[in-house]
Formats: sequence, structure tokens, C-alpha cells
Amino acid sequence: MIRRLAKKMRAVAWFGGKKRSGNKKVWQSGPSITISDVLEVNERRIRQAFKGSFDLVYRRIAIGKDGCIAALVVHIDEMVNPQSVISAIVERIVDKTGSLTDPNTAYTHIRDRYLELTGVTEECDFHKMVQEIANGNTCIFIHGVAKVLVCETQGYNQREVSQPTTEATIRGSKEGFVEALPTNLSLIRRRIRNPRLTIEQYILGKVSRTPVALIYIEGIANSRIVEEARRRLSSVNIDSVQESGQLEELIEDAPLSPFPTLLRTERPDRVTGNLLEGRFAILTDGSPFALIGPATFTMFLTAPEDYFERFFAGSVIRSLRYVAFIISLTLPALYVAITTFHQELLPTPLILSIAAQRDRIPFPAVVEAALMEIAFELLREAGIRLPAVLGQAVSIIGALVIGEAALRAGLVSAAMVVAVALTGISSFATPIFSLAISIRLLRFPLMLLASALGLFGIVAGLAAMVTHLLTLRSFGVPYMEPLAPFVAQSQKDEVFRAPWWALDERPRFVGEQDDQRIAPGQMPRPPAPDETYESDR
Amino acid sequence: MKTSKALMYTTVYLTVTALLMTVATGCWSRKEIESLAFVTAVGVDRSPSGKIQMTASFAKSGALGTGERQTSQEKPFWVETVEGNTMFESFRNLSYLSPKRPYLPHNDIYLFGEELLRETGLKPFIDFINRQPQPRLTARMIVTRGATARDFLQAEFEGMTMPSEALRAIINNLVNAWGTIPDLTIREFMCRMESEGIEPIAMCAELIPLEPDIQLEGEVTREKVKATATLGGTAVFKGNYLVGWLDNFETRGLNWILGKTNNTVIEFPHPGAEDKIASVEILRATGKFKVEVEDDNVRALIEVEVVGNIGCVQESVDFLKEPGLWTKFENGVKNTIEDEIAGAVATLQQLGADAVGFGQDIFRRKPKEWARLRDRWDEIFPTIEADISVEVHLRGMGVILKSIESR
Repeated sequence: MIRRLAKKMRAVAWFGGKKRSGNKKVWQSGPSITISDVLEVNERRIRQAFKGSFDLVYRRIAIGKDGCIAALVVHIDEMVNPQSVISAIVERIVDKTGSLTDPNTAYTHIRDRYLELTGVTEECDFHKMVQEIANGNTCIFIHGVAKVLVCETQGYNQREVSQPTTEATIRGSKEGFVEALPTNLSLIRRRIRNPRLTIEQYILGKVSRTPVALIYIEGIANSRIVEEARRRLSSVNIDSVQESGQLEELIEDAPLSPFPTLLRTERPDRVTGNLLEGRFAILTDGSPFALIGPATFTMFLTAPEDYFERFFAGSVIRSLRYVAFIISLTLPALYVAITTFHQELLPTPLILSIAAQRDRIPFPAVVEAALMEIAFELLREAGIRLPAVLGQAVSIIGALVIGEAALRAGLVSAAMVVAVALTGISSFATPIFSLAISIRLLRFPLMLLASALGLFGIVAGLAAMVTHLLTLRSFGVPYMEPLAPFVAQSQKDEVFRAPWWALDERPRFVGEQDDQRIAPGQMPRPPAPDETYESDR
Repeated sequence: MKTSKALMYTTVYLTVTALLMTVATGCWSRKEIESLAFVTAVGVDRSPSGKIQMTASFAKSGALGTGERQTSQEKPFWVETVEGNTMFESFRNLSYLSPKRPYLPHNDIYLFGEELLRETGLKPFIDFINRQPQPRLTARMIVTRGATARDFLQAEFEGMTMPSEALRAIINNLVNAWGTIPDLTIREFMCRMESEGIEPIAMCAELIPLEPDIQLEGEVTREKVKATATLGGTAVFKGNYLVGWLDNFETRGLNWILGKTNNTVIEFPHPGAEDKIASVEILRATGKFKVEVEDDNVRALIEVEVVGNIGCVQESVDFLKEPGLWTKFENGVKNTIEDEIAGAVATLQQLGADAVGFGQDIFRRKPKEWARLRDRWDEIFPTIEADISVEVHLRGMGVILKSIESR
């Protein structure tokens, strides 16, 4: 039986690891073609390249003295800013070239003098030119010139910068990333106005050709880690990148682990904070989520607010979050273990009270716990999917059915409802959703272990989990750093956060290059009693 | 690449196998909470046929008024009595009567009938409590004076309906406000049993019959004569057997020596008025003793220091006008404490049971002397002379300076 199972496993692995030869020809650009100096040839080729798509605009204009030079302006209708195409290109070149007769002169004049756009480049290669059109740029052909002017006219509708929906804070920036890469980059540049903030562009996705930006701070980031990030990004070979999540799965360190090894965030301030610690960020066009690496476990329990609130509050809130993490992982399992194996652990009145509640419950504790947990997960999933107008309906049904009716119907005990509610609330306290999901997944095996082996099972499960966590690395950095390997200096910013004037060093491993973060001795003090003032009195 | 795949398969097999194993075991020691009957007090007596008679008081979880349920008029406990040759068998025999599985860890009271301990001794029962994993060693041990443990578990209390809860609460009251009960757990009891030169003691409880509301007719049974219980005093053991009792004040005397009395009330004749009584509240007390050996002549030096306030006087006093009165009050307290200590030592000597641990003190500080005296300790102990010195510091006189005078 085991052998058969093994065969199946091998088959599955083969299926997953199989290299499929796709229809490569479609996505190969073929032999390089130069641009023709005949407008008709170019237009025909472009029409061919875009397979006659209707949204391409081919605008023939006559420029020069008495319109003696024919020109062609090509762009995709909805990808450009119509204002810049009409006024900055068409109107300008028709107006300005009125005295010229030579196409080459007209070309150089347009390129160097007439266009008022920020980005104007020359292109001779046809395929690259086609890509520029697809990017939303405008191409100007002039009859008799075998070159093309590519004008940056990208302009499309985008969401405005708004509050991040998945990582809200009370204190701190209210800006969140949007889908457009340039806007996102501007949000980061605005926070770190330093030339050493390096942004490298990658075009990923054979079909989608999505721009992806790798961002780090030269001189702070560990160059070997950045090199590794470059290597992984360059080796990505996928048809399209729609969301940074796809990228995450292709470049992360532990693809089979339930724990995320890249941090995902919607908040520019979190990105810049991590850049300043020496990490890198990856932004994907079309996704409001940035990836941050190398990610360590404790980063997932950190919220930007920890750094913005005063350190007492920051520390307490953060340590509370660690407690919430433990609760959300183990509470249902503990409930099951205690009510089925270790009844001696609770104080007598409490155990009698739980026993009284469980008296009429037809299911064993583990089934009861699983029922409630599944119901809660359903409710949560439905809450995310359903249209906002129905939200109230679901919350009413959820609260009534899960909280009240199940209790009254004798399906679950009140203590279980409390346990599940606490677990749910605790799991919402995890600031990064991707870790919250892993905890949700791990809770169920722990419950199973608890129901079979009691506390021993929970301990065994947790031991296995910790062992696994200790084997993980993210871009070469141990995942559990600075807890294991223990870095005494970094404990200032783990469970508790030291005040800013004491956070003098960047984290080890990632920020070693320039490890001084804040100049020492900046603890504010009242001024010393002034001698002269004393003597005046 | 190949090795890493092989490693992955191995990991997957192992995980699947391990998970299947956990389920396949069938959870052998699993016991759902609702299938348990929580024992809150255990009473042990001798049955008429000479066997062990075990009485267990179970908590009726549904009637406790917890959770959403309304407090019901139902008794929140039920009591079952079984017989057996050993404690272990008797405990198992409870299963004949209880639909739920008897569960001991939440039990914190063991009651033993007086008769049983005088005749059978305690060893056979202590072994069960010590050996089995379920009984807790932090439980209290109570000897029921002049009654069976079974009768005791039927006693009714106001305020707290569970007898075990009520007994525990009364014990706490006495320890914190009187010091007239020895404060020790089963573990400490066992330590005393095993130690050199000290005898075990246990709490003592008595049953108080309530006056019947109606004229009793026919056979007078326990159910008809309702009773409540009171605690206080000490059951003194010698080795394995119960040998006698210390009353409440003797018990306090013992606690003075051991330094275990905290807050208590002392009454003594009013120094300023005849036939009147004054009382003092002791706030804290320290007590220690030292035993000196000279050949066969053994002397115990007992030192007690107490701090207290005036509690109440039956005849008005004005300490400001009579400066000497304060000292008289202190002396009154001193004499009372000395009497109590002397009484305790005398009773113990009479019983021949060294419950204070004079012998242990010699054993610890002068092991050679102990080796010499050990075999004759039973003869020597009653001859020990106690040298009692009590120091009393009265501090306050309540919230008034002067008593109210009647014109």
C-alpha cells in the first residue's frame, strides 16, 4: 500500500515538476526588423503586429511647409493621455514645422526642440517600438526617416491613493499603495529623498510584460542579498504577473512551508521602514501589495504603529500581539485537550461550570471545536466575499446563529463559543494577513493532535512547528532571527520596542553594512540648572 | 535534486504515518468532561462488617447555577456510600452507583471517622492517596470527632451549598481569624508521619444536630435529624493511630509554638474591673522553640512574640488616666497565651504524642543526642519542662481613645 502511495506521490511530483514546452513561437519576437522609412510599410506592419485591433489610432498628419512631409502618429487609444497626444504632439509639430521641407531636419527638430514631453526617445528596432506602443506610448513616424520617435504619453485611469484596507493604523501615514507602479514608486521616493534609493526595473511575464521594481538602499542593504534577489527575479519565467502573490510563490525560499518567507504589505511606510533596515522591496505593477525580503518571523507580528506610538504603548501593544498569536494558534487545541484529558488543570468551579455546559452536548469536544471553528471560518470567508450591502445580514446571522442559537440548541457549549471568539479576535490581531492564514491552517492539525494525545500532542505539534521554523531561511537570513540565532542587540526591537534614542543599530544580517541607525546619546533631558540663573537668585 | 526529492517523500510518508498513528491509537486515556463525576469530598469509615466504607460527595454540575442556568432549589451534590476491602477497591466500587466516572483530582477534603483511625490506623488509606496519581496531596485531612464521615457528608451549610466548599471556607476562616485549627495538607501530614521526632496531626470536626422543626416520629434516621458541622481543634496521632484531641485553645497553644497563629482574639479577665472580660485582637505573632538537652534532662524553650490591639472591654477604661493599665492588659494577654501553650504541651505529654516536634528539633540540631534519646523518647517526652516566655506588644486601642461612660 505504501509502495502504491509512493508511486502516486512520485506521479504528483512529476506532474508538478514537469517542464512543459509551450508554443514558444508566438512569444518570440523573431528576427529583428528595422523600421522602414515608408509610412505605409510601417503602418501595415503595426497593424499586423496588433492583429488589426480596433483600439489603435493611426493618425496621418501633414507637416512641414504646406504639409509637404507626411507623418504618422500611432498610439493605443485608451492607454494614452489624450491631452498630451493632441496638444503636445499633433498641434505642436504641425504648428512648429511650418517652414521645414526636409524630413530629416524635421525629425531632428521635432526630437530636440518641438516636443514638450518629458520622455522622448529614438527607436530603430520595430519590435521594441511595438512594445512601446503596447506600453501606452506614442510613436511618431516621418516619411523618409527610418527611425521613430517614442513619446511618453502613458495615461490611464487609476485609483487614487487611499487608506490601506488591510493594514489600518491609528497613528501613522494613511497612504496605501495603489495599482499603478509609478504612483507607488513616488510614494516611496517621497519618503526617502536620497539618490542612493535604488530602483531596478524588471519586465516579467512573457505575455503580460509587467514592470516590476526591485528597490533597495545602496550602502545599507546587504549587497549579497540584493544580488540574490536580482538572480531570483531574473530567473522568473511566467506568462503573466497579475499580482505580487504570484511573484512571491516563484521567488520565496520555502515554497512548501505554511509560513510566508516574504512579507507582503500595502503600506509605503512599512516598505520604507524595512528599506532603511537594509531589506529590499519588490513592487509589481497592477498590485497594491509590495513584497519585502528577507522576512523574519517577528516582522509579521510588527505593526508600523509600534514605532510611531511612544515606546511604552508600542511595547505593550506589540507584546499583546505575541500573546494573541499564541492564543489564536493554541486556544481551541487547549480547550479540547483540557476538556478531554486534563480536567485536573482547571479550578474546580470552572471545571464544574464547563462540565455543566457540556452535559447535553452530543459531540465530543474535538467535534464541537471543529464545528465552531469551521463555522467561524465560513463566516469570515463569506464576510470577505459578499457584497458590502449584505454585510449586515451576514453579521446578524453569524452573531445570532453562531453565538446564540447554536448555544441554545445545545450544539456547542458557551465556553467553546468564548474560546472560538477569543481565537477569532486574536487572529485578527495579527497585523500581516499571510501569517494569520498560516495560523488558521495550523490550528486544525493542532486540534487533532490535542484530541488524540492531549497536551502531549499539542507540545509535540508545537515542537515540530518550531523545528520547522528553525530550518527556514529567507534570502539567507535565518527566519527566527534574532530569537534563534539569538542576537542580544536586536532584542531591543522584538517583543518589546526600546525607545527610538536607544534603537541605535540596524538589525544584524540585513543591515550590517551601515549599522548605525541613530547617533548615540540622544535621550532627551531637561537642561541642567543654569549656574548664572542660580547666582542671580 | 534527486536526494531532496527523496527527502521530501520520506518526510511526507513520515508525516502521514505519524498522523495516522495518532488517530489509530483511539485516544486511550481520553475522557470527555461530561462523562466525569467530580468528587469533592471523600469520607472513610469502618463498615459494620469490618470493611472500609467509603462515602463520596459528588458535585452535581447541572445544579450549580453556573452559566446560563438558573439557580435551582436542587441540592448541588449527591452522596454515595460503598464498601470495599481497600481504598482502591472502594473507589472503583463507586462505579456501581454513579453513572458518571468518579474523578478524584478535584477533591480537596478527606474525612476520616474517629473509630476507624483509633482501631485500624491510617496507613492503608494514606497509601492510596500517596500512590495513585488522581488524589491531590494539597487536599485537607479532617477527622470527624464522635461521628462517622458519612454523617458528615450529609451536613448542611447555609451560604455555601456544597459541603466541601463550606468546609474549606470554614477552615480558611479559622486559620485566618482564630488559629484554632492546624493548617496542614495531606502532604505535610505525610511528612510528619515519616519524620523523626514529630507526630502527625489533623484537623478535627464535629457534627452539630439541628433542632428538628417537627416532632420526630417513628425511627429516628439521619435524614430526619438534619445537622450542620463545625470545625476546630486538633486530632493527635501517635504514629499510625489516633490517640486523642486538642481542644480549640490547646490547638491555638500549639499554633503559638509553631508560629502558625496569625490573627486571633484573646480574652482574659479585665485588669481594671472584677468579673469583667477584656479582649485583644492579635495582629501578628511569631513563635519559635529550642530544645536543650542535659543528660536525660530535656528542656524546651518556647518564645512567642505577639502584636495586638485592644478589641473590646466590658468595663470602660481610660488608658490616658491610668498609665499602668496598659501593662496590665499586656500581662493579661501574656498570661492567657502562656496558659494556652502550657495546656497544649501538658495535653500532648499526657497523650504521649510529640506533635510539636521537640524530638525533631533535637534530631536536627543534635543528632548524636537524638540517637541516644530516641528509643526512650516516649518516656522522656512527658517529662520535658517547657520554659515559656511570651512578649506582648499592644499597639492600638481601636478608633477611640476613651470608652463611652454612662452617667
